[in-house]
Amino acid sequence: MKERLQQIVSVVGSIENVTIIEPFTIDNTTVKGSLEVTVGDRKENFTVFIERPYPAQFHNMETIRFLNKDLIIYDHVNADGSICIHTSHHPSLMEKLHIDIASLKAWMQKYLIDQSADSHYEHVITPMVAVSGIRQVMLFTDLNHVFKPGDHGTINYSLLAEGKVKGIRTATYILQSIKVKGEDVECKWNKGYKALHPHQGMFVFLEGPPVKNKRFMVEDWDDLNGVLPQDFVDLLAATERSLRQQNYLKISVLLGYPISDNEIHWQLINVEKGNFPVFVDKIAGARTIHITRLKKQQILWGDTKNCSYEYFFGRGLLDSKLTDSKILIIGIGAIGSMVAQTLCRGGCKKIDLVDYDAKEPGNVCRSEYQFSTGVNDKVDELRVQLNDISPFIETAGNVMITDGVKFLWEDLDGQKFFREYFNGYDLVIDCTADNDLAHLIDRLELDANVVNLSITNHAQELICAVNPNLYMSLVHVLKLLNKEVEEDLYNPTGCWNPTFRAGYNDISVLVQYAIKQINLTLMSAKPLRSFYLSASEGNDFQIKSITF
Amino acid sequence: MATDRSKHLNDVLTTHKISKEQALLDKHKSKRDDIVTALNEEYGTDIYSPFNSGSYAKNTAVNKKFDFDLMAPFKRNAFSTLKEMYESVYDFLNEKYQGTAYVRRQKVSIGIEFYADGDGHVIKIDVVPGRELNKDQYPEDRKLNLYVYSQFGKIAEGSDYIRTNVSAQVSNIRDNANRNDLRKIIRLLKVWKIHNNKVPKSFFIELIVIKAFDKKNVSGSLWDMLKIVLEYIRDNVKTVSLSDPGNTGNEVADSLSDWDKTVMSDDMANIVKRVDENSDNIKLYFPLNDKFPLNDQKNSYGGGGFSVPPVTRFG
Amino acid sequence: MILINRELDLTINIDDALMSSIETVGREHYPKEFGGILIGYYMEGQQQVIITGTLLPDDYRSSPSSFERGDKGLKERLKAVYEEEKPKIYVGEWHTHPNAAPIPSYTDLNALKEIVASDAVSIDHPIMLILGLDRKKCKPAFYVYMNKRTYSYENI
Repeated sequence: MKERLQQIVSVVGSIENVTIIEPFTIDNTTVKGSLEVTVGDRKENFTVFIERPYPAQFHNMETIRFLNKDLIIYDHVNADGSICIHTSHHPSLMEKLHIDIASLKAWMQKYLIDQSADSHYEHVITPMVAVSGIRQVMLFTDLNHVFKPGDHGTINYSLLAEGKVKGIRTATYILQSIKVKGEDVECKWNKGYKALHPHQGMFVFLEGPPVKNKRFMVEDWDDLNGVLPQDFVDLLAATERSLRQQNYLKISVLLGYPISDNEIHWQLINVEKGNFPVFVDKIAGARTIHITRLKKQQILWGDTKNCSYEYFFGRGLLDSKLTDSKILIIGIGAIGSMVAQTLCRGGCKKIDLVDYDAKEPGNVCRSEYQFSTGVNDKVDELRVQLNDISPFIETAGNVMITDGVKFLWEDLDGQKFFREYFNGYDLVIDCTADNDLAHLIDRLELDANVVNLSITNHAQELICAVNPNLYMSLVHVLKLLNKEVEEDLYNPTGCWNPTFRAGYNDISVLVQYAIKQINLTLMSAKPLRSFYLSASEGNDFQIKSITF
Repeated sequence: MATDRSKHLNDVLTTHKISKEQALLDKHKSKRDDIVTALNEEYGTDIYSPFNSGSYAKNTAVNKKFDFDLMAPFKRNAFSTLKEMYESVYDFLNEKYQGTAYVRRQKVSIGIEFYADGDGHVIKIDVVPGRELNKDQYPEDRKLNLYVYSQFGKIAEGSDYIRTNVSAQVSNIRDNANRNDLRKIIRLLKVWKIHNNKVPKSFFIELIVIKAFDKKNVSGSLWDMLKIVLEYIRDNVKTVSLSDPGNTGNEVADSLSDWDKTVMSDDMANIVKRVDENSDNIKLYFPLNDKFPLNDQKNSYGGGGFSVPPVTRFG
Repeated sequence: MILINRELDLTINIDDALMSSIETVGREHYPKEFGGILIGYYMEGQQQVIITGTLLPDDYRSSPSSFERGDKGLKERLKAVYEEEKPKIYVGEWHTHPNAAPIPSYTDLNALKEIVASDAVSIDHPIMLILGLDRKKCKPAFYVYMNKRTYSYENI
């Protein structure tokens, strides 16, 4: 440890424009000292803490901190006065110190001296407090309403789930609706989430976030006197009175404000029963005036997350030609269930599912099903899963259509019915590997885009055939690959459902490749073409794509 | 199993011969004659002789999805406007064939699609009305103005008429297409277009193939020749100029959007690449017309002697 | 009833009474599978088969999703019908699909492949009749095995 301290002192002392003003010492495992750093004409003092893991990061955080509480009003300074720097990794303590101090100097230049503004919005820093040991998180979406400062009223929200974060119980809620001037403005969740049991809370909308030092949320109700509209303060007091007889722990209050021309943010405040931050102030005069005011009392801030479609899928979204399409997936075995999940996670909003079959334990190892749910209609189970993944997906299921196509084909009205049924979709993805069905669907000459995905035995190839001419392309490729009659299929028991041999990894690598190719084609606004993927059998795995 | 590309292409042409559909062809001719008689009766001296102007006249027809185009040349004074001409012919045909055919307004023609007859045959004839430019000039210059119908109105679609010489278009392609090889290539590309539901109009295909024959030395086996033309289209479709033989001022290349031209270029590139790589792929792009199999061998149950089947398991 | 595959231009004639007796037998074993062989003769040109009867197996194994037809005594009984005044021969098979569509399974396709491959079988294209049975309805479907696949028939 001594050596470490000496090394730090000698490196820091050698850096230009840096002076040690309080010698470095070791306190437990932390090395602490003070520096004066000069950039141009500007000199600032920083207390430095260097933690044990340094130069490694810990939990994604730097293990060196430079503190100066006087700089708190500047950008990228945390509540404790530490400067927010993120630097590149380096395994050598010496090099890392050079990098970090250079980064501190760069911060001084940019935010202290030049005072440049960032182009992206930085959320204000809110100190979060657990209520009765439970941390609260409220998820919300964009609301189709223009709120005005001073607006207030009631909200509906629902409990989504309860969990634990680092040992602290955490309750996640979703905002359902906000009642403003008699109108119910709803969050854009799908039907399943909208049906969750509602609880009532309150909201108030402000001009901007109530902050001190530019970016730090106020921590005391007293700071909100004169900030919250008096109507709302009165409403708080009235609410406490009206709920006196009720049994409840706390009520949720959302505090909203605009963060750009077209986006608003909401913060959550919890108000505990018996601890409302209001009192009646008497102002003496010719006549005594009674006015409800906010107490000096800590604000119990909760956590919120904007879960609008754009944020939810912010890290990656498929092309809008897919996400905005009404999609039908026929056959949700290994391939179909992977396609459904991938599209769902890619932001698709409408996916209907068709399969007559039930999920059994044997399906789990290579498709998107769970063991825990037992034997179940595939359609029902996958719908639940898609809904679990995305609050923006609407699904429907059908177990009859594929059988119906075959039974009612000769019926004149039958063909007409199925043509209309399939044309009700923008995209029909047939993953049944049923060539009879492919033939019949092809003969319907649908306006909808039809994509047929199938895999040959051992997942050697994935065939993607598209309309027009889907069936002909499919048969052509099968012939080309010499896969007209399959041998060595996997017959579980009873031989009813022979199936190809391949595992989850074998199949999903091809399915993902195919979806990527389809998505790229749509992005470039080109028409879909039939293609097949061929997986190499050698030691170095390779996928070759052949487009027709 | 490798496919002999040129032999296959020849088979494609054989199974797509218009003569294989003699009955359907005869029915088209007879319906066309009915329409010509009716137009002559209705318009009397206001109309010159209607004539065939489609692929059948150009000798480039194939036996799948074919129709007849009938040019109806009117005299200058028959109508005061082209729209009046177009609407008059539409009203007349609609009235006459109501209950026996779907009659609809198309871009420059009136489409008549007769209901399927007892044999399941559907006769389709497009009537293209046109008016001579000046009084009595048509017999000399053969030039006509066609009305361009647009359901979106003329602002969206540009000009509301096309000036052209349909006779010149027909004879240009017919004369060129009498070069036997060129006709084969045009037919093959039509087979590709029809079987794969492709966008480019037949007229566009005809002109660009003629252009390829002009610019390139198209020779060798049938596949060699087709490949040279496919490569020409692949490399030039985005920039080529195709002037209308009926009116050099009309740019036929404009009938295909830039986007469709890019797609066509990609199409050509894929065909050449895939067929070079594996001869069997030619069957996907240029399929036989399975309605007319090459050898008319009959299927049969075969065998027929005494048999004892083994123990057999069904699922 | 008369059935046709237009693509192959092959037809099947079968008596309605025979059809209903086959259904009756199949129903007796419901919800297990059951089946038998079809006998009859081909017309000249071998494009038309007349199915005249069925021989039910003396030994068999069955479950709701499988059926194994044995061959005990089959040879003798086939000989007997072959020696009748109008000789009848083995022309194909029938079996039921309880609670399922009358669509050939992979096992069914394999069965036909093996039958044709058998040395004791001289016909190349056996007929397969599948009856899709449920409590109320019976959906029969005829197929012929040709070009390594099955072709279905429609009623005329």
